[in-house]
Amino acid sequence: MTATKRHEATEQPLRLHFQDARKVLVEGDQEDRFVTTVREAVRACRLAEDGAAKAEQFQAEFKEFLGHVNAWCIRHADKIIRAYVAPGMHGMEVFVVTNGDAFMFDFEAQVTALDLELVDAFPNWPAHVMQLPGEPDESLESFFTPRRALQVYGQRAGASPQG
Amino acid sequence: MANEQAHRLKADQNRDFLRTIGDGYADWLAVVAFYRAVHLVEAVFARDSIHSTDHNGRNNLLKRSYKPLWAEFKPLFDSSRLARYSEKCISSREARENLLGKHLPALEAHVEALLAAPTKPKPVTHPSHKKHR
Repeated sequence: MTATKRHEATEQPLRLHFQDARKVLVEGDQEDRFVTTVREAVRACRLAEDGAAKAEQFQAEFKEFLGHVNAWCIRHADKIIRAYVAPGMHGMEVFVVTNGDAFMFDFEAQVTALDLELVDAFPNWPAHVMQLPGEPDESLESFFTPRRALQVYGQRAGASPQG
Repeated sequence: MANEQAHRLKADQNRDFLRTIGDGYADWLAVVAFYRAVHLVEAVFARDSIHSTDHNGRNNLLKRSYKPLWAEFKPLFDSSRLARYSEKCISSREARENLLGKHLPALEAHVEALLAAPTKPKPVTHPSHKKHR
């Protein structure tokens, strides 16, 4: 009977003590088996737990990041029609799609301010914020693929005002 | 790896070239203005013994450690990117007014001030500084 089966039978927790000099047999999901020390098994458990906690933290930060961008877009709704977040080569790219067909130089200071806010507030999510003129619509494809990006503000391209 | 002087020379060459670009080439005004900006900030990096390897590395350094430079550099970076990949989004008048008339001169002034400031003394390792056990 294996340790797991014995554990299931008795419903008692299997105790591993860090100082224990014995070895344990670990069976993976794909039936691979390896023998390791109790100390290493304990360390692996700790790492797995830390990894899961870190992944949760990253996800929570990313949600906050998206919320921050969305709130900023709402405050500048007079100039922005849509906004997207897409993975870039070295971090996230935030594309703020503006009204019309021209680069809005008089809006760039606010865009730069958002870019710097994100650097300070979300060091784990390096990002670059760029404004893109919304017309013509297909010009966005030169910078990212809208259908593969997260739209964080505005109506979907091509959707009617009624949705 | 180019030094401060080499970057300043390139920046000056780009300034001279900018003066020859006509109004029919707004995209090139934006692109060459950006190239001049790149060499200006790289001159500062070289003076500070920092070397960036690509656009992303340079941008991240500017955002984190040279924020006043980034505020002027970013519009030059983004508008040149737009000019290269998109059509008719920047006119010659806008490029001259905003890039050549505002952001580039402001960047030049920041860079000149940084380069004129005395360099920070580098830490010296002297035998007498070694720890005695």
